[in-house]
Amino acid sequence: MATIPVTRRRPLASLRHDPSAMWHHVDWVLAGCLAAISVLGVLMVYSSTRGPEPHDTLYLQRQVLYVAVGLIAAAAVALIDYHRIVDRAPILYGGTLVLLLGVMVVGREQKGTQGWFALGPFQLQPSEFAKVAVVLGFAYLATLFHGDIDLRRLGALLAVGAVPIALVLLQPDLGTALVSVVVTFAMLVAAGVRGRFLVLLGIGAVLFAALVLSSGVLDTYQQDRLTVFATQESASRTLEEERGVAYNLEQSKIAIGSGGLQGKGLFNGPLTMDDWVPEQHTDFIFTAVGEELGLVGAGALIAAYGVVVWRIWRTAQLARDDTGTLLCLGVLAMFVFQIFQNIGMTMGIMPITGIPLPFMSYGGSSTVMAFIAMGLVLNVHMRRFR
Amino acid sequence: MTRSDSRARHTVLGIVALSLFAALFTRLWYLQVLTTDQYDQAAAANRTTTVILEAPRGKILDRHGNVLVDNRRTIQVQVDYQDFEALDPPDQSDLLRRLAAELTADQVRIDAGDASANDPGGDGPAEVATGAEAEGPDGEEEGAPTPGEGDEEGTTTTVPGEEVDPATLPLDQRPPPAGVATGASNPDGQGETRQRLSTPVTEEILRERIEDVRYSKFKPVPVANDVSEELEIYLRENAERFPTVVVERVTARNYRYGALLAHVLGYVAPVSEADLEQFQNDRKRYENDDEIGKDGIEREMERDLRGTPGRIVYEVDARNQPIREVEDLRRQPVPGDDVFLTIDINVQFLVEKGLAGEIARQTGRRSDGCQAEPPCEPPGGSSVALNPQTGEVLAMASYPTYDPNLFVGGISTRDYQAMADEERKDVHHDPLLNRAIAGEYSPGSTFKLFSAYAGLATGQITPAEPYNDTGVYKYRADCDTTVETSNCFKRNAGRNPNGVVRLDSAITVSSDTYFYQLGHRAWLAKDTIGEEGLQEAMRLWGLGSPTGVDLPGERAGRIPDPDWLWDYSHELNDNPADAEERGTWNAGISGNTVIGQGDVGATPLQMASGYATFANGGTVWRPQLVYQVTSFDNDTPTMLLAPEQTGTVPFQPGWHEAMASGFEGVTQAGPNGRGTAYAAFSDYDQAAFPVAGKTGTAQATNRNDTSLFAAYAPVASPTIAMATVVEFAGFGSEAAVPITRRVMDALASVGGDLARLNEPTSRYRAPEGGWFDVEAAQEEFVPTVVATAD
Repeated sequence: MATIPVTRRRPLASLRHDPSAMWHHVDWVLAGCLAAISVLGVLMVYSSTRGPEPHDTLYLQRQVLYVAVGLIAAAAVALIDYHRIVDRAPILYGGTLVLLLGVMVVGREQKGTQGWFALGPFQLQPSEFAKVAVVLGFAYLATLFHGDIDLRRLGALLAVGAVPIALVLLQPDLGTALVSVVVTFAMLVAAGVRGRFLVLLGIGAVLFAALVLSSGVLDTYQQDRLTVFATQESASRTLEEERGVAYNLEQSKIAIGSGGLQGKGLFNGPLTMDDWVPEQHTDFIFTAVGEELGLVGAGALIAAYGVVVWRIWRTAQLARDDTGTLLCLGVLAMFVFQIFQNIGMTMGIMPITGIPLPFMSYGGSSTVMAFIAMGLVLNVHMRRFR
Repeated sequence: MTRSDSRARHTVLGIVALSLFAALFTRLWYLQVLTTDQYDQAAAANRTTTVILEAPRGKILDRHGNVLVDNRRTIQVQVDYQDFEALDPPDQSDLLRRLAAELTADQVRIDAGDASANDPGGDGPAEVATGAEAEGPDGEEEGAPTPGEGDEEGTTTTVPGEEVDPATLPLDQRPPPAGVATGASNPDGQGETRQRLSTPVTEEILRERIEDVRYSKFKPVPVANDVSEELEIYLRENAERFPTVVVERVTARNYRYGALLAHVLGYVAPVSEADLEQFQNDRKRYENDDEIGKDGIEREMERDLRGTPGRIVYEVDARNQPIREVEDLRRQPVPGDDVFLTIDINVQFLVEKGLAGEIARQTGRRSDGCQAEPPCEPPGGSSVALNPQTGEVLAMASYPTYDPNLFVGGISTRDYQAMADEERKDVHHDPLLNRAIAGEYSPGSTFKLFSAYAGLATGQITPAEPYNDTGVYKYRADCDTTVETSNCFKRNAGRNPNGVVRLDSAITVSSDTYFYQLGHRAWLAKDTIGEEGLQEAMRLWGLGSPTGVDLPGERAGRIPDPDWLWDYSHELNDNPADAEERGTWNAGISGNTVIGQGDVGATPLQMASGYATFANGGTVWRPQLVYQVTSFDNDTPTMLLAPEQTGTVPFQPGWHEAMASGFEGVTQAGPNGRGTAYAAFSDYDQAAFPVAGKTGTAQATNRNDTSLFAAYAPVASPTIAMATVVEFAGFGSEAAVPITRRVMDALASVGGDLARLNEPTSRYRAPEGGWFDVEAAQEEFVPTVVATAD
């Protein structure tokens, strides 16, 4: 049911000179930026976890492992024609749903969220898969619809997004749910849903958000996070607030702010060294960059992300078919929102949710998934002439 | 979807992405460029923690340099409130039960002498094996610390029921002297002499202390003072069985003379909001649970006694563990200044023993002055001794009293209420009240000093003018004196006629009718001398206003005059007719005023000051308690206070001599007649240290008489002036005079030289701990009891 690729086989002899061959169209800029960001990520994870002498290299080693696995996964994904992947979207999507259901039953509760499978010393986070699954599922359906989306088809698309979102919300993992909502919305825009529907959906989303906030689904501490975000400039706080969520945010801003122009130096950030910022190797990894590398380093990181996002956007423009475009735009939305949400929350312009910074935060599932998503983009880019 | 449509959508998405990144950059710029300093500072502050070092409080000493109040080390058990609240309730109960058991066992060990409660490396005599916690019967720690004398060390194990001579017990196990309130079990100081065995600490008691609102919840709450070193070691080694429990060596205030001089010294307790408003400052900053003086000199000289806290600043990690010290910011604590009082602790001891002894002697007696039901039951009394030449306060006592050590380490609400609750005044008789400065009494005949002067000053009498004392004074010539209830005449207190008297003999025999006629004449002459003629002359002596002594809580007393009476009557009476009738001054009221009854009110300090002024010939000195403040490390005084004159009472020729002759006659049976205090002074050697004075017996309807006596000595150049009041204890000569005699006897024996009283071999030297046995005190002096009315 997917598009049928037209494979034009060339004689082996001229493979090397085939201007449309995949190998000539690896987006090296994208790959280069990703590599640089990943290296920085590994360094920052090390800086925020190494502690005093003798330095702890556990996290360093593991993150290197995750990056390595991610690279392999990205390469693997890039090598398989994306059309074949999209063809198998239903299976991949269904499998993700199974994992999401499963984690609620046998998963481990951590940080108030039941979203992790414990696999020996490692952890698997299905909600990370959910994001990509939504992109794939969407791409699958939208390609079928060829841009002609009536109400019924719109419903189908929404369903594709809504089911994983709901399951993720029930964990509850507000952050990932939010990303998936944004991805869904962006892909609806990309897929050609009519403007007025989009507006209606927008209003509906706001109402739904209000519903979620006022229902008991959100944990108190998640509600606190939103409250603290809203009142971060206010001086009056209860003791509990001081010690809890507000503290995280304050420490984060202090770390970044005190970095100034040049930062305190790699591995030399006082707050990073002495564990002053909670969750610094995961959600708040950006604070390490801000403190130790200053505006120069943090700005360069944001710029590097910007380049990545640009390249994804450019690939979407250049893609050979709608499927490719949709895939790229989905990944684009996912990354843009994640980056904006994560870095924004460390700086106090977005509420705190538990979303990792792709290619920087410590974490197997998130790193590998990010690489896989990049693999898809590279995939599309490589095959744009074929 | 058209190509251009799709292009448009792509562009929209692209623009959205771009704007988000722009927002990130902007915010980053804001944090790292525009406001970076603020965050840099916050980062630095984050990383340091400051430990405040307490500074020792200054000492308080008497005029001879005897240390009255200093500090001692005590081992204190504390509970961290925040951690405690974080425990589950069953764990909390468990912990408290175990802790209570350990504390109780430790008390038993200390009482038996098997353990020592004092830090052997701290201040105080090292041989004390018996310093232990003093307990109220409900087990609340009161921390009576007295480092006893070396030879009081004893391992006396007492069998309940066995008669033991209290003087042989270790100092802190003796029953409190009479009149020393010790809490709920002994709110008025009349608690039975009994063995003070420690009562067990219970879980409930500990919980009550932990929840007590007076303790800051952000520092560990003290739950027990004066525990033994063994317990300290035990709790430290078994810390995992006693979570949230901390053992600290802290400094505690130490009142070395027990209950002696309690009202002058005051006490310390945790600072309150109101205190912070008044005293908080940056140089000697108060933390929420610091001690502050609450009363007496501790309060009056708080700013000097308080030491300057020091600090150590540490760099810490996120778990608040110190990494290293920031040496530049270290500040050493500076102990507070020492305060020297004019008080002579030995005279104080004599006075307090006298008060307690005489009150005990009078209690239950039926006498001429104690006719009402029930017989004499004096609830309280006071005595003040001054140096007439300078106004220095030599002694100031108020009965009942309390032991300021009670407040060290925290007093339980129950004990405090038992001694201070307004509702229970008739039970505890206000041991915390300093009657010397806040008790406003009817002076009775002691007031005649001021009336006599006023009569002379307004020209109503002259020293030589005779008056025939028939025992009755008629305000109207047609007054029928057979009708006792008629209010147109008054009798002498003893109803006896005294014959012809002049000013001096009128004073000596305390002729009331002489003074009634004085008052009447003054009122009749109001057109010439004014309606307040007498009162103005009386106020020259400082009456009716506070004396300005350096203590908080002084009352002004009252000299009533027609204006005051009018206002007062209208305040009290709603019915205008009543108000007018009772608010109108008349001769009778003048009469009452002149003999020190009616609405006249004076504090013992004012009376002592008045007689001191007379003794020195007319200079009104401000009563002075503090004469020197010295910083802790050198002997040069930082502040020297000189006596301050606050008024003058001018004497015309002949006045002083006549009055002095009158007062001298009071203690003798001489040319002026038989003095009202003669009986009590009949065996006194007037040649060595002659005493002059005036008795007073203040009457109240349906109540026993209040006994007063004011005196000064030696007559030629006086070095001491005293005023004593004992409430509802009979005639002036029954209770107040004997108390004065004791002091005069002691002074006479050393020729009036206070320094000799202070010598180590002197039998009058006050012992550390200030303890005395009230029965022995009674027996020390046996007055010749032939009371005379005055």
